[in-house]
Amino acid sequence: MANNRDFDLISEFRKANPRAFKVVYDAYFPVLCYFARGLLYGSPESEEIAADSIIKLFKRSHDFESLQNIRAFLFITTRNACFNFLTYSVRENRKINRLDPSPVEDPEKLALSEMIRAEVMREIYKEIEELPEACREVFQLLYLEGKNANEVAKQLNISIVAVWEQRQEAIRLLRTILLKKGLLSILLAYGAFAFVA
Amino acid sequence: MQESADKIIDLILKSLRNEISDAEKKELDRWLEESPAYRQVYDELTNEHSLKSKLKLFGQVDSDAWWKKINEKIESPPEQAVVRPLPKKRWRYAVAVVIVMLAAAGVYYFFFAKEKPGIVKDGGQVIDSVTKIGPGGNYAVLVLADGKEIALKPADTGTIAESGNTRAMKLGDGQLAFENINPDNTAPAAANNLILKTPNGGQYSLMLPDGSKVWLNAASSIRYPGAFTAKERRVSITGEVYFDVKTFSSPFIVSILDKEGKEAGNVQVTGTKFNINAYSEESSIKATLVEGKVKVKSVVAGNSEVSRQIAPGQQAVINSTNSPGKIDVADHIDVNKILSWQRGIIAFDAAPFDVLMRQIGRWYDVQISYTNGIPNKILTGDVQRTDSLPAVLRNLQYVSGIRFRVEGRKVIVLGE
Repeated sequence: MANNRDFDLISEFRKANPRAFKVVYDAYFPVLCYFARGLLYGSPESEEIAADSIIKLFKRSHDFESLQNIRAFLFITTRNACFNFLTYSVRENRKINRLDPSPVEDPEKLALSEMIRAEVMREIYKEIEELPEACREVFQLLYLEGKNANEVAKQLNISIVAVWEQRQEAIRLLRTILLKKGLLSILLAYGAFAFVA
Repeated sequence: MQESADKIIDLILKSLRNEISDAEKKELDRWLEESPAYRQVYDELTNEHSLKSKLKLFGQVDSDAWWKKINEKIESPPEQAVVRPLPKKRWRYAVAVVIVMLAAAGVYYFFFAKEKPGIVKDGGQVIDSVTKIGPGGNYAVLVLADGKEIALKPADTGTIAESGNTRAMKLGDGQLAFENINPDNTAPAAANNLILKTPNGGQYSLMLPDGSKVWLNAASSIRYPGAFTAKERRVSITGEVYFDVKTFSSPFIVSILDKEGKEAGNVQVTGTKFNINAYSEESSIKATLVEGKVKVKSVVAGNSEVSRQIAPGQQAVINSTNSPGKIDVADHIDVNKILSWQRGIIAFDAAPFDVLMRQIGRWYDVQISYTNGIPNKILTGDVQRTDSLPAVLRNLQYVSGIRFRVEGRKVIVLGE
């Protein structure tokens, strides 16, 4: 079934259907930004480079036969643009005649490691996005934003007990052990505090 | 680069989810051995703090805004879709180091790649010591009136020392405060001079007896009395210190000491915010005003005093080498840049190479030496002070083309 859906998506993508474009964009743009950021040491230009890769992809959409092709094209295009960017900007500004884009580490390995990092992050991020909405909101506030159960309850206009339940649900549904553990320790600390008080 | 990547992504995810078999674990380990870059990625993904900050970053992209821009660009001529080189002013962002907590071990592997010229790779003992070079932190030594020295660490809170009538307290926010143990006791606490000093790699903030706050950069010190008299509030400093002085009628005077401990100049204020950079190895003393009004005076033996008043955004530069005691005033100073060290950034704006390296030396507590002289390069950029030394050098090498070698606590600048 997944293959069929992929096939439909690809055939629509090849026809330059804007909705198919949007699906591909949503799937890859954040991860490309993250990838470019890694290669460019956090430069804000990374998003522009990722956007340019997407544009290049859309302009030749009829060339692609699978999502794998699309993904490979996007990562390789972005990687090359990042290396060009580094070389070019260094030359422009520092008047260095010769520059290895990555004099310290083999650029291929660097790019591969950044791609792997980005893709793993995307999977973990997906894990969070796929949580039921209430559960995801509690996770977001409690874990990522570091709020305590009281603040979360107030902000979402739910009871503290509901916060606890959603946290429990998130622990059950999440697969990444670090996230489970992180959630557990946050509320346990709060629980101990509430108990003492 | 994709086939093996997908396999590895799958293995890493399994490992993060405790779903990995022994055979798969071995496969993953073999891959991790292949490159320091791989190891670094894995270490960061399996560190909770690092993972959390990366998850936040990942969610930060404004997808909707970019979607609009992309659609606009698709309709425009193709040449506009090409990435243009950086406008000059934005250059520094390309240098800016990613805000990542790097595990020291990961960085070491990353940096000391196999068979790369200019990179140390001989002898395990060299590398072992290198792995320990992380950034500095909130460290300082407090010297009490009786000469007793107390090492202050980030974790200490509560009472840290008692001497005479004074009790030194470390508050929760890292501020040092002092209180009189016996308020009825009229013995002059003012006689009790205290010295707070930071080592290389240390920084510290302190509340003075009048409620004024000071921040010490690395390799700096402040000497101040346990209590100020009504007549004046006088402290003396070395290194770099930022002041936020409480307004009172009695003048607040900062004596700036040279390396022999003699007064090289002073700054007199009533209440204001300013930064003094007076490292004795630099060629001048710089006082930069953020708010209010200050009078800067130079003290040179045999010469008549020179003094200048400066306004916010101005910087008084007391010359200490060429024409000692001369004060120049520079306008339109980027105050944020001057104060960046307080926010955990080493910012360098058109800085000569050796000036930047001295800053790095002070923060990472390393000695800098040059095999081919000081490179004739002017650098602009930011360094996050939480980054490890190898990460910082790696980026410097990137932007300047200059190579480095690290041996123990020495950084040897090799040239291009």
